[in-house]
Amino acid sequence: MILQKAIDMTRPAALYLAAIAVLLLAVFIEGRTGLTLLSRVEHIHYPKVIAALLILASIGLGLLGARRYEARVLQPWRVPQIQVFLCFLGFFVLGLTGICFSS
Amino acid sequence: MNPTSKLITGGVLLFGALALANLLLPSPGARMSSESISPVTSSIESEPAASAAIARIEPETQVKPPVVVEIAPIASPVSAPVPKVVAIPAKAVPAKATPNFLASIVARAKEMTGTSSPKSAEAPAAEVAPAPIVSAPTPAVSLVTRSVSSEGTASQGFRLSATLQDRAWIRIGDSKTVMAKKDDVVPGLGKVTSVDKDSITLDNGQVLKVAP
Repeated sequence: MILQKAIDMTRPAALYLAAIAVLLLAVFIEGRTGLTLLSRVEHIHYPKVIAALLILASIGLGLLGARRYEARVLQPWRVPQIQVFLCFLGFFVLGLTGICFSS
Repeated sequence: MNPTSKLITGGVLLFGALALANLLLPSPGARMSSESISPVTSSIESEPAASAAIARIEPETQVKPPVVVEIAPIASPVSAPVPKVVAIPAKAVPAKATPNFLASIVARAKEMTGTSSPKSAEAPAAEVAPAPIVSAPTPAVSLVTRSVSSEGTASQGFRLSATLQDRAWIRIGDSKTVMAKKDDVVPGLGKVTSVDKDSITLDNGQVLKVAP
């Protein structure tokens, strides 16, 4: 059996960079064109504060994901892929929610 | 730091900066939205004084017909001055000036060649080429192959990074890592026959140990 388990980080890196590109595009649409991703956010008392907290949490998760990604590149036997993926999933979801609440 | 990690970190920080700036600062898109413009226009239209002022302004804002100014053509182009050639008679130059002039040129040339020849002779002596620095050739030592602790030469460039239960991670070169189990064939290395606690055994008898 020929070995087929080469640890290639190209596709995960492309996925994470695509998530960052989507978030940057959402920020651009929100800030420069005036379009809102959500029509109304009325049931939240302090949407700006919550948006700021969500964005800060998103930044933290993104930086943590970048660190885990680097650790996986160096030592893939110690850092499983799910750790990196969950960090970037939280970064994407929290960031997009924060952008929606900031409108 | 890996370039991809740098790119991801930069993207995350850029997103955070833009999102927070969008949250704290008023955006130009928000000013152009219909919610901020419509109340102002409705209040202006409802004011009678404002509508009267608009009615007074409107006739003045009509576009006036353009004024056509005829420009007279240029009378005549300026004629370029013609240079005059003056012929100097031969009598104006003294007869003995020409030999003196030639003699001065020859003397000047001799002086220049006489002074420059010693310089040209000294130039090669002054420009002493520095002795070439000959350094002892340093042996090209690969970090990867140096850390291999194997019992053969076929595993050059391969390094056993870690083992866990029945799996082993083998570093190939500087950037690629493969995971192998028992009976897996690593291209360029061989077939893995057994995975131990800190070493693996290949089918050709080589034993790769975990690099410190």
